Amino acid sequence: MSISQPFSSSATSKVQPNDIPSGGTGGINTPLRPIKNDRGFEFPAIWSFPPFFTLQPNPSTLSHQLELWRALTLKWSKHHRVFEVNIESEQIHEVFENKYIKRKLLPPSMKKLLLEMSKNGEAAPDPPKQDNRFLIYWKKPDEWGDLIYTWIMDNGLNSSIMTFYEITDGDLSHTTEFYELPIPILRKALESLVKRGKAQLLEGKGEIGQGVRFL
Amino acid sequence: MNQRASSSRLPEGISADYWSTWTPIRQGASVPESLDKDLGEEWIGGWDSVGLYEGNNKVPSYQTLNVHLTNQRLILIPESSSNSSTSTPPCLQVQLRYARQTEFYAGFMRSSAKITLTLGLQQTSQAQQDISTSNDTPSNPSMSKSYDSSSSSNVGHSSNWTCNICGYVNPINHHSSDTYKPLPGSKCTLCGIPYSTSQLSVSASSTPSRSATPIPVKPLPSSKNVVDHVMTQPTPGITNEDGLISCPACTFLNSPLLPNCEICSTTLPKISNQISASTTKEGTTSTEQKGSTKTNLVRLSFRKGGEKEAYNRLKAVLSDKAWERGLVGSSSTIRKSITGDIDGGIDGLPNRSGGVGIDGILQKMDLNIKEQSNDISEAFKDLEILMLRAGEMVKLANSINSKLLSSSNNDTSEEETTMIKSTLVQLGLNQPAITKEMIKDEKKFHISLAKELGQLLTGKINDESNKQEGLMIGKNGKGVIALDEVWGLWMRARGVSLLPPSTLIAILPILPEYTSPSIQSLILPSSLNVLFTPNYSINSILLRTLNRLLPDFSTSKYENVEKSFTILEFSDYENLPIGLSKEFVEMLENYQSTHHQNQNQTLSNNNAHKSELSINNAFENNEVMGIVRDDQSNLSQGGVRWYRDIISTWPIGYI
Repeated sequence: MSISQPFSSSATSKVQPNDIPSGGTGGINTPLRPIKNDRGFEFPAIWSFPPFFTLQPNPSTLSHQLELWRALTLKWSKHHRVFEVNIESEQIHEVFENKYIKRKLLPPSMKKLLLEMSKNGEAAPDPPKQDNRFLIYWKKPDEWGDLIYTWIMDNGLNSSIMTFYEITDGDLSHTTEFYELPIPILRKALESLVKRGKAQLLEGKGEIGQGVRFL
Repeated sequence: MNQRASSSRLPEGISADYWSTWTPIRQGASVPESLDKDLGEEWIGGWDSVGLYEGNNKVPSYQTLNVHLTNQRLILIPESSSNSSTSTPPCLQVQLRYARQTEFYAGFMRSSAKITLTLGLQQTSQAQQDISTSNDTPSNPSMSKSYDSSSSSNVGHSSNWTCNICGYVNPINHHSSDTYKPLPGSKCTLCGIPYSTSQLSVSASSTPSRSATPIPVKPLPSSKNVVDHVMTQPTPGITNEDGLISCPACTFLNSPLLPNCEICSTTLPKISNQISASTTKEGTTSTEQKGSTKTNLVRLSFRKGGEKEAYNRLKAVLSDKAWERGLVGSSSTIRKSITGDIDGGIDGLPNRSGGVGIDGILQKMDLNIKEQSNDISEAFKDLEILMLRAGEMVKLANSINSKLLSSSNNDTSEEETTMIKSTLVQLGLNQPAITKEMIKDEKKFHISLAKELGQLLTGKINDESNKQEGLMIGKNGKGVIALDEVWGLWMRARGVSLLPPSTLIAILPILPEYTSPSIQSLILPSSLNVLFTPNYSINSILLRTLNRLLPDFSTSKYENVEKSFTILEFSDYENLPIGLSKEFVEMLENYQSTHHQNQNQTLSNNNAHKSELSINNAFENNEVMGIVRDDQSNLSQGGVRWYRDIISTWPIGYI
């Protein structure tokens, strides 16, 4: 029995799964191999397992399968800074389609996955009350809010009024993690700050006119 | 037998010709006690809460009756009313030999089920003898009787009117029939719509289309001159000007050359007899007209059910005609006539002129069905007798077998013995089939049945080859058999002592105990019930399947893919039919292994060393317990493919 990766080394990846390039075969005796894409993301070996793209009828298998998919989706969207997934869009995101084995997550399965993620606070339908377009929260709105607030404080921008555009696309934010953050996520992040009394939303005319003052 | 009382005590409308009062043999004696046992009278049944109608009218004092049916009489006993102020009316009885016709009405909306009984006077033996002597021929009274009823229907004694609304043919009250029309206030008994004057014309000769024993219009050809009478029925069986014969049943005009009607295959009457016979008819009718009394029509309304049973028993009694046996002393001509009359009428034997048009065809079909069911029940009688003999047959077969064994080397040729032996095996079991008669105790019976079935399924260990050969074990054994197939094979082996499928189901729970290797039953996802050998238990199949799917790193064609299988491949491996394969794969797919739970727990438990150890163990032991499907597999590669379930064991950390 040949184990492709020593178990103990990959076990450490469990402790800090975000930092170590994991994937691999998880210690399972399988001929499947992880695949690395041109942007440096490594798809785990299970991604090359055809049944992984079919939601399983066995409930206990299915629940674990969905867990694996949730983790994979978050990891992938974080790596590629993907904020939104549209189930109906013709362009299927790379993670949901494995061209090597010609398998893809079909829209109903994708919907199930995203609803499951929404249940766990890892995604949210946007606009709400529909189930085709989802925001992916590889960082929760709270976390985004904290990130923005720290950046504001670090740059001495508190008590000044900023537009949404300035935060996400301004010259200062090019280097930040929230560069090009979609407005809905930004709004949710700011709302979480408002709740904590750290910001104040200013309604302007239309989207461009919307502003925020950090306290 | 004729305890005729004064008619004054009878309620209005109840004809004293047929009815009389009845008193028990002594005060307080029950009906069965009071019967004329000397005359062979027997009590048949009793029903309560019965109301009496005369024609369409309620007989006021007889609305809660106990009705008793004997094989000779119908006895009506009013239930003693609780308030003693009104004296209980006298009990009534009617001799069933007066019954000319019965009719059953199943009830509709609020009207209760009813049995209509048409009473007609049987000629007293004296009158009949008179007629027969005066006519100088053994005239057939039943014949005249039938004309009586048919002719009277034209005149109006028992004439009918058809309801405009529902088409039900209502009989007209005969005691008010001097006008030959229904009373102005008459209502349809079926739907309650009042009679309208414009409709009487339609009704005259039509017969009610509901279940009723046919009116005795024709005697059986029991004597010579009856044959003539048969041809003289006042039915449409006559030729028209063109020489065509109108069918008595459907009225279609047939060529005189045809023996049967072209449309409905009813036997056609012959023309030659027609003219001569019609004269005879004239004579008899006129004679009989004098002697006949009007019929009395009564109804029994069953308010608390029991009508079906009562009607069936009544019909049985009427066809049994026990009163004839009581009249042994009377002249044979009369007896014959009665037989002919009642046979032709009430028993409903094939009666060519039973009706006209659709009704006639329906009646004919009815009679055919009756005949067929009689044939079938007779055929089954034979089978029952054969079943009784089955034990003896098997014994005989066994004795032949043993004789053959002892004498095989000298007399008979090898070929013959094997032939006979194989037929014996095909004939059934090693021992006579176990029947309920052999073992009285239910539990023991089931146990021995389980053993018998077990022997059939698993066979016996052969001394020479030390191999078992049975339905499920051995060279040709099938590991999985559907229950219906098991039952069929078992019953074929048992020969004639068949068991209901419920018995097979009843012994399933104890079957594993009494079989070796133990045969168990299983309900597949499609709710098909099967028996399987231990080799085909879900666990065994799963282990075999997973072993096949284990990756093989030793060979050179190492392809970076997991092994998989299709339904066809599975059915080939497991030697199962495709249908069963599908079911088994579905079960494997849904197989809930306890390992999943354990591993999920250990995985979520991030306690490093402990979980590491257990996961490690699990993986090294290859604890993949289950299969997963891939729906997107190319159809050209056999459609859906199954893989071993590495999803459930894949740790989240390795994403």
